[in-house]
Amino acid sequence: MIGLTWLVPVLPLIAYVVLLATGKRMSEMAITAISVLAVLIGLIISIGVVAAVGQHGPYAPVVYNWLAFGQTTLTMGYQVTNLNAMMLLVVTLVSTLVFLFSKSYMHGDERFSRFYQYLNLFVFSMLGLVITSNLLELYIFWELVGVCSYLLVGFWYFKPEAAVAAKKAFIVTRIGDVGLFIGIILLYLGTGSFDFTVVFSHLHHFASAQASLGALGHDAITRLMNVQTWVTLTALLVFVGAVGKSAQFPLHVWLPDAMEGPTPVSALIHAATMVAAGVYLVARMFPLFEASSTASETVAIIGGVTAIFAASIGLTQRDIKRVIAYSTVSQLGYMMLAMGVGAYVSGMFHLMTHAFFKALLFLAAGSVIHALDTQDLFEMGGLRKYMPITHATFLAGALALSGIPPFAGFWSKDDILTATFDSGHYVLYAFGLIAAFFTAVYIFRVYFLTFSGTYKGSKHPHEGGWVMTLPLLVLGLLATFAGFINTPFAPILSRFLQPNGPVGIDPPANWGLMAVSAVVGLLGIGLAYSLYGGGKRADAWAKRMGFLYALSYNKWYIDELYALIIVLPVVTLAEGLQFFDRWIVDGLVRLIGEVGYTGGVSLKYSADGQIQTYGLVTAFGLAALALVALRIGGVL
Amino acid sequence: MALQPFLALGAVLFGIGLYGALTKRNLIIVLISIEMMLNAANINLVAFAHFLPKPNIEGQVYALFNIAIAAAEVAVGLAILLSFFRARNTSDVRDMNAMKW
Amino acid sequence: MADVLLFIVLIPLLAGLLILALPAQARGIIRAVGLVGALIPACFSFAAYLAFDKQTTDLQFPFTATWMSIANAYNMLTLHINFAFGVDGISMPLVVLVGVISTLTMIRSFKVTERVKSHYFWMLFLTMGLYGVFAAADLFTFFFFLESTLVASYLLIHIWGGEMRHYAATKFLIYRGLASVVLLAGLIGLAYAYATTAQVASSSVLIPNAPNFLTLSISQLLTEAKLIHIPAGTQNVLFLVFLLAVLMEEAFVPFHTWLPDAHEHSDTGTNMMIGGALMKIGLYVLLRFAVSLLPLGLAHYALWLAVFGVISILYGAIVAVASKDWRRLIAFSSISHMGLVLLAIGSMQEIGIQGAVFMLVSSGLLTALLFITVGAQADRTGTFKIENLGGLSKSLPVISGVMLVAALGSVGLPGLSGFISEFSLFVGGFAVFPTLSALATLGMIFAAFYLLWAMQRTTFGPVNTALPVMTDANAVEMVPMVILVALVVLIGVFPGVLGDVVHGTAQAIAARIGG
Repeated sequence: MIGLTWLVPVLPLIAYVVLLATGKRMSEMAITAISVLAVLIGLIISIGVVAAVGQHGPYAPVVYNWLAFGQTTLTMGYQVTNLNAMMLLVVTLVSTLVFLFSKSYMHGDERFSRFYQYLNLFVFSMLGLVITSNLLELYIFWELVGVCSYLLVGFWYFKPEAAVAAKKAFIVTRIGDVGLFIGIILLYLGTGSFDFTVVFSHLHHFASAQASLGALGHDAITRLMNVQTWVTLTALLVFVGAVGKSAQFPLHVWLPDAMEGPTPVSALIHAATMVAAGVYLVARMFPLFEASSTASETVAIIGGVTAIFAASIGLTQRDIKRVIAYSTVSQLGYMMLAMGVGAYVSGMFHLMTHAFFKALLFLAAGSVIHALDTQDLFEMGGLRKYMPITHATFLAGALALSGIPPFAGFWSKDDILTATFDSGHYVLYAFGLIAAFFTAVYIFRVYFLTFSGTYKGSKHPHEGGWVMTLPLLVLGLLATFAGFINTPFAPILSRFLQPNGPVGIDPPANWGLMAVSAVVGLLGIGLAYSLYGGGKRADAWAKRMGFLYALSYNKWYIDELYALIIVLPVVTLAEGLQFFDRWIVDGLVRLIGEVGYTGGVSLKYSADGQIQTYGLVTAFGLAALALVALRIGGVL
Repeated sequence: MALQPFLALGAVLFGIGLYGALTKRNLIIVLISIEMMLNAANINLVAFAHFLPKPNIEGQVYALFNIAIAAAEVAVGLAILLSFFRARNTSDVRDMNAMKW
Repeated sequence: MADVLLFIVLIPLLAGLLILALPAQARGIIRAVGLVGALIPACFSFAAYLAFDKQTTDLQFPFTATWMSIANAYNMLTLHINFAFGVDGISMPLVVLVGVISTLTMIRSFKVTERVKSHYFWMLFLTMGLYGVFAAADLFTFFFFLESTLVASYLLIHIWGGEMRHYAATKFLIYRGLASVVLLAGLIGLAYAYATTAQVASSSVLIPNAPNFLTLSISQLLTEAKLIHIPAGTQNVLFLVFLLAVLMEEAFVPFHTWLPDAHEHSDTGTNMMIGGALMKIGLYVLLRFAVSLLPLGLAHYALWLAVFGVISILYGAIVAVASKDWRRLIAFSSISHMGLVLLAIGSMQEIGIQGAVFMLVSSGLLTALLFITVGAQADRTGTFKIENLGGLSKSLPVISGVMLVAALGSVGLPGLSGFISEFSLFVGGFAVFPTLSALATLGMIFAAFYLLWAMQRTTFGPVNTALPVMTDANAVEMVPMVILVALVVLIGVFPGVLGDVVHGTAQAIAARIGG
């Protein structure tokens, strides 16, 4: 199976090419079949890969020469490690279900084929990113993921909001990408290679011997900075890339807007592909962050702040997808927090469980939106009767998200909180705990507003076909039971991810903390029930909170702030510089031209056409010349 | 006789001619002034030829040449004058300014 | 095969003369001759590219014919003026680039209906000039063809341009003419400096058989550059002269204002030729003469190059944000991209030089692609003004799609040719000027901003009802677009097809400048 790993990303690529070539000629059924088959085979291979890696540990990279690059040669290839085997499995699993779900959701869209093309390209890019063997290749797929999200978020390009959201997603993540870009270049300049293995062996060498970079073999960087600065700087720059992709504060603004895309795309972006890439990057580059405490502290703080910040916004949003989107931002904050405090396994564990329950929540939300044609929570209600499967699975997802035992989210989130506590980050632990409380409140607010009370709309809601409910059921099961692969009783994932001894910290179970977080989750649900249970709107409560409510509802005015301090100055500067260019720089050029022209024009009037004037000037000129000549000649 | 008086005569004649050519309004007077300048040159040619260490007649030959050419020039000049006069009914040189800027 | 470069240069001229002999009404035949006259040398250039020997760094496919000799031109030395051709790893890709761009322009120019005969003649003449510039192996030959491109492109703007074409063409002519004069001074100075140094060197037996003539041959200069060293002071002065010429030739800030005007007021075919091929000459001059032959001068002014480069990157990118016209936007975008090349050359790294050639080729292809798509939508909508467009994806899905590919390529998306170019240049830049390079990365963000913003306003959003009913790309546009996209993807996915040819020469240049 290992030898077939390259097929996992290539299959969706083939599907993309096939769909591109056939265009609109194929039926929706055939298009779906090809696409689902491509990822399904990938899923089967991934299962085999996971089994093989579980037995043998990581495999050596398989690489091919790509380009002669200075003194080195760039390579392209793939590498199977325990980490990326797990990611392969998660991505292919979620993608298969989303692909299936999309058939019904996108039914009848005139660009149905185009939609699946983009989806395939998206999954190809993500899978390529996961199994890459070097940083440059990772960056290549990283950018491809970005552009696919641009295409998919802007899929309904004729909606102005979608067009703006797509552009915003690309540009904001691009800011992060530039950080990663610089980080990769600095790593190359320091180590002379892009290969993970080479880079890590240099870092290992550095950590053990405190050797100078010159001794590491590549001295381009030593002229510029000392070694510790280099490590910290590159780690921070790589993290900037992750911040952009994983929508961490302060680059989180694109993700909630990105839900302008079709809902299956949101599920894919939020669960398996785009945003997971940032956390995966930090996990993949874990030795780099271990080498710099400044960098890992930054990761932890950004993660903790994002977790609580985004959760606080999720409390008041009216759009069902927006709530779930902020929930994603918040959960990604947890994962970053885990990475920052060194809890490598916990972070990846949460990434996996989150992928399942977040995909579930989005698809369930998609099922609701598909049935109602609205995304406004206040126009829903009472759907429990009409959509029992959606209701049941959404409830499972909500419980998992809230961290209620024994659902999947409980085990992974609790791992993170324990690790944070154990590593002595008590403030961040408090952040995490409050965020967990908020989480339970906002997701059950959604639950009660959607499924309890009475239905307020006019359209008759009903479940979609089996292609919609089957993915929901599968994900519902996963959201319920996936946590058991890494319980304190049987830490299967923990062993799987650390084949060569411990990576980071993996604290022992702390029953007290577990009880605390479970209680916090239940309290949150209780509050949500008291405010929104039975279809209440809790307007009075909102009014009483006044300013805080407005702050949360308007997302802390971050978008407005950016518009004011970044977009406005840039556009003003551009207009100003354009004016400067046209009237000052080019004005100067034209002035030179004008001076020459005016000079010529004014002199031409001396040619008055009177031959006698010419003669007179000539005669006097000649006389003057003669005088000068005689003077110089010494005659006069 | 010395050379200088001849040269002085030529210079004076040339100066009068130049003054006339540059200042007179009537084209006929201007033409006459130009003739005077040519004749000043002729006087110099003849004078120099005579006062050379080995006198020769080449100066006189050139002077004759000059006279012939001057005649041709006057003919052309008068022809221009006539056609100009017919067209514009004036012989004032200040009116001959069509070729300005 | 030996004289292939001569044929490449001559065939467009012969085709042009043939067109002059044809009646002006025979438009079909004229177009066919024009296409064939560009296609054959393009095929030759491809063949030469395939036959290119990657092991040697000498000029390949050499051809030399003496035009005249002047005895005692300088210090008892004889001056031979030659027509000489030859290519190495940095000029070979550019010769092929000219082949691609000129052929595709001929196809696109089937749309031209005004004065077809002279249009094709001047297009072919420009093609000849461009081939000659990049294939020249002699300073005189180089300058001769440089001036012929100037004449041809001036007339192309002047006759077939938009409303302010006379203004734009005159500005173009004055700027580039001025650049040529300065460049000529530099070329002559270079030849004299080498002759003088070689004479001194030969008297001290450094060079056993010093040439008894004043050489203008590039290959000779390259060979001697390894043996003799022009004094640092002379190199600095000469380098400054070349730098000034290049800043004007390549439209670097603050000598850039002619380029947006020229692009804005030219027709699409001319823009493809100017943006795709002509605008590569300046940096080629820098690489070919200033960098290869004046290493000490380069070292002395390296920081200047980097500073000028970063100014152009940021200035071009920021002004592009405020550009209202697609063609001006592309012009400022290309100013910004070329600034990056200047920065990388200033870093004197092998990767930077390799990246420079990559960027010249890549931006040539992408600029041509952008111009053809922008021109295609303007042919239908009647406007280049971004604010008057909107929702074109609906009515022109193919053109909009290709436009998006071109825009993403310019942004530096991996998988397209722009990425590996930009990446190599930045690796070079960061190795020496980390702070300046970090500033330059802002240009990457701005590029995403202005291109995607313009794309959003042009192709996305609701359909602009003021626009007429339109049909998507026809064959005359389709063929060039498909070929350009294919090449952009090819270089993006397999950069080795370009890198293998460039690598050896880049290494040789880097060795000379100690990078």
